[in-house]
Amino acid sequence: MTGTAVEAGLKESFVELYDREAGALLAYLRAATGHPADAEDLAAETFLRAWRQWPSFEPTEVPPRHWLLRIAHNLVIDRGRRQARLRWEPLAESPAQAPDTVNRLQLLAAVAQLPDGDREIVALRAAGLTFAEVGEATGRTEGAVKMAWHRAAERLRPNLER
Amino acid sequence: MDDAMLAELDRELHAAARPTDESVRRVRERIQMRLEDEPPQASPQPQPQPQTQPVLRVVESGRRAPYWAVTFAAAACLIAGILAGILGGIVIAPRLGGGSSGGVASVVSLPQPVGQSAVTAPSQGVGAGGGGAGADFGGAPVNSCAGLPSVSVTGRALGATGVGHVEASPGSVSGTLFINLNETGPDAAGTAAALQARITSLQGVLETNGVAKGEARVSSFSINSQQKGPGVSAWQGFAMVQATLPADQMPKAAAEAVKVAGVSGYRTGTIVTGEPSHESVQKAIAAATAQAKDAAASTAKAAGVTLGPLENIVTLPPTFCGYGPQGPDRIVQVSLTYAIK
Repeated sequence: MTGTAVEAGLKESFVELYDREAGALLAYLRAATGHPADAEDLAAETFLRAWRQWPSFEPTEVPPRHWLLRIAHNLVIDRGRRQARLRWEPLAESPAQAPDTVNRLQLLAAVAQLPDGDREIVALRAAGLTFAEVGEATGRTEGAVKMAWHRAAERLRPNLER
Repeated sequence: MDDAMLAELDRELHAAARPTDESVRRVRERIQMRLEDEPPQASPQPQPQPQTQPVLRVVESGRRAPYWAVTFAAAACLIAGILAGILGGIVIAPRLGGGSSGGVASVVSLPQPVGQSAVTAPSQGVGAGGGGAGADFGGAPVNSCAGLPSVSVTGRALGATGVGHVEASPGSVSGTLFINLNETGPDAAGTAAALQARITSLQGVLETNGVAKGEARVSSFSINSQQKGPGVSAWQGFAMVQATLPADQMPKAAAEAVKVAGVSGYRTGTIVTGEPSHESVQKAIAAATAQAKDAAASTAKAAGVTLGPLENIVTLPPTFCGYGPQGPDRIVQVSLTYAIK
């Protein structure tokens, strides 16, 4: 197979991966950052990092979604470190949005305020992982994941009772 | 917190986190732009075969070959080496002992041309089970796409495998051409309009060079600001046009496309093909048979043995063996087994 054909095949399979996993990854990042625009930036960065490793990636060793979520998780941590050094000024005016949208953005913002461990679990749930899969991805037991989920839910309760 | 509340949280969370289609599309465009510029690391590029040094490989099976067999094999190897040298040979890989008849087996592979990609032969396409003469030529390496013959001698039988290329039927191979366009301007609207004009111009060129009307489509279009300090210094537009066309028209279409202003590069994509025609398969079988016969005759002559009657013929159906410059390569293999007098 020529180099061009190999590269074309890699690109094609990678674009397929994107189409399959982008929704889950963006959902994870939206929940983990609480910020849709940042989620897009981090999603793009995640896929670019994944692209660099794509030729050597072995889907038999780790499911592609877990692999992408791990890359994204590291980027979220880096972002957290960067943000700790920055001061954010709220915009004077935000564009008008539907109440549902506002509530959901507030829910995402509240998720982003959770302690790191709980937030990770909530974000992975948002990405569509089962409790067992979340446990596998975070190295916890399913029971521990469910406990953290309950704890996070208590903190998020005010956002549901609006 | 009760289960109903937890279920509601799950629902709300999924609804809040679910990205819009627009968001998925935006990220996709950003990534696609970068994929064009940035090759993946550790890309498994095919390695050309080493060409300057001969390779001698001796494989011992469960039963050790007797001294006389080793001596005989060394002599056979020498003869094979001379033959390979005459034919420009490089690789000699003799195999000793362990055959079903307990005799000596030697395998001669002719060299690959420089730069030929090392394509692994399909497993079913390697050698042939020459059952008629009780011989086993299963280990004969055939560099499928290279179209090179192989010869094996086991006991009192000689097997030769020839390879024939199956030519693609005209029109059965098609490919996709991806063309990148760039435009830079002082404002977003002007840049977008100029980029669109370039796209239209490119589509016109493609349609006069083998691309059916409406088949040159824009698969990506984006305008991005270039920041300099606190302000925007310029706007940069990027578009990708994708066109499907017959493979034989691809080189000309690409050559014409790159002349369009704003085109910054192109690549060819996946090439698909239909089944080869009956005629092209028959032609390839004839070529493979002739090659096997020649290889058997020349090896026998060089080894000082006389070929007996043809005892077995095995023809393998066309198999895919990799991609060549014109698209997928297919080969057929024909194995002939002769008795040695």
